[in-house]
Amino acid sequence: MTVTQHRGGGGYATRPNPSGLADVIDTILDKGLVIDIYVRVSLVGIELLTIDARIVIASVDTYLRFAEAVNRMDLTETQTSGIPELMEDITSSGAKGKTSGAIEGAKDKLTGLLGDDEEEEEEEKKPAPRKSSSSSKQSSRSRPARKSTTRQKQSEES
Amino acid sequence: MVLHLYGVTTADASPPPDLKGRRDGELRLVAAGDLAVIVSAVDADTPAGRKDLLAHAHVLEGYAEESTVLPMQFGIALPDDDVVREQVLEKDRESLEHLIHSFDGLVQVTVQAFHHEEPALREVLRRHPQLLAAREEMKAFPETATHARQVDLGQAVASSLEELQEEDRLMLLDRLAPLSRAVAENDANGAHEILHAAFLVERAERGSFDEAVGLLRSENEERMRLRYVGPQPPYSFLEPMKTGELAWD
Repeated sequence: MTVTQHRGGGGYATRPNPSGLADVIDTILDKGLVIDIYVRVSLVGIELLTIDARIVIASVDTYLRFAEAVNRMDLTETQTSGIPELMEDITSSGAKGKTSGAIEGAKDKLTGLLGDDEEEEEEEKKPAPRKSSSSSKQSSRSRPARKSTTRQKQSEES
Repeated sequence: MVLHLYGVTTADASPPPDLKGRRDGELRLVAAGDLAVIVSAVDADTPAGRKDLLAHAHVLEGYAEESTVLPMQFGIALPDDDVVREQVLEKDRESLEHLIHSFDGLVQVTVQAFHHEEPALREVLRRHPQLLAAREEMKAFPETATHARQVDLGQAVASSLEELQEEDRLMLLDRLAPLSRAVAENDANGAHEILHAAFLVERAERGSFDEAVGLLRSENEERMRLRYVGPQPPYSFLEPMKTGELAWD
């Protein structure tokens, strides 16, 4: 781990970036003021899309993918070498191909709906499948509910 | 032509220079009293594409740099100024004034964190030597003979990975939440997303938050990647503020 600290200098200040397409699903398509009577512009499919984009596939394939990743990991290697090879193995593995297929399907839909899509952000390209569904025996250890929980500083301090 | 509505702000808000609306439309304010709606003219049958969505978001972010903005959902258009005043500003004036007042001086920023898979898995194996042992044991057999155990191993890895994600999520929140007025977390998406949280930050304190994010990014770059978006209008805090879940003087 290479951590260099020179905090006093403020050398780590970093400006936030403007929203990308991935962000608008959680913001302007999901939240914001609405009015009772209004003329909606044509947005066929957008609502469907926001649901699809959240679909998380978890299955046996996910676990096999993790097992495979761990199996291929050469722990005698130095930290840097071998990573590209491993990543390549993971991306080309059949298990991943299957699970991520559904997600990429939703993604294609998004692309199709929203037109040209040449400069997607990195994480949008590889939404790898995530954790358990209710069909698995480990659903009980999933995280506590996190859906839009809000809390205030005051209540934290008290 | 109709007026596309972006959001509600104060009548004295000025648009950042060079900021344009959907389809490069000229932005202006439709004001009534001390409130105003940010609008631009668009053809009534303009389809909504990716650029329109981004334009809407970027207009709001542009105003949020200096002004208090209440975002409107994408896709609301009204025929003219009078209808905008009547349907938006007059109808809900009390509630809008309350919201504008409550969010005065505050902006939202969003932080997402993602584990790099390989270093995260390596850490999992380091913490759980029994997973490593299981892996070694299976190597003696052809893959077809160990399918069930492969699934078990993968499941155990996924489970340990989630523990690590939770630990890192709490670490990030511990560092960032104290610099904000309120936090709203979204569900994480994808196998390696650790955190997806909106923070309500005082505009004057943005520098400290920027620095904290930069420092976290630098300290943890081997294991995770941070995305940092903003300044945004208070999307995630509108509803809690309306319902009273969130409140201050």
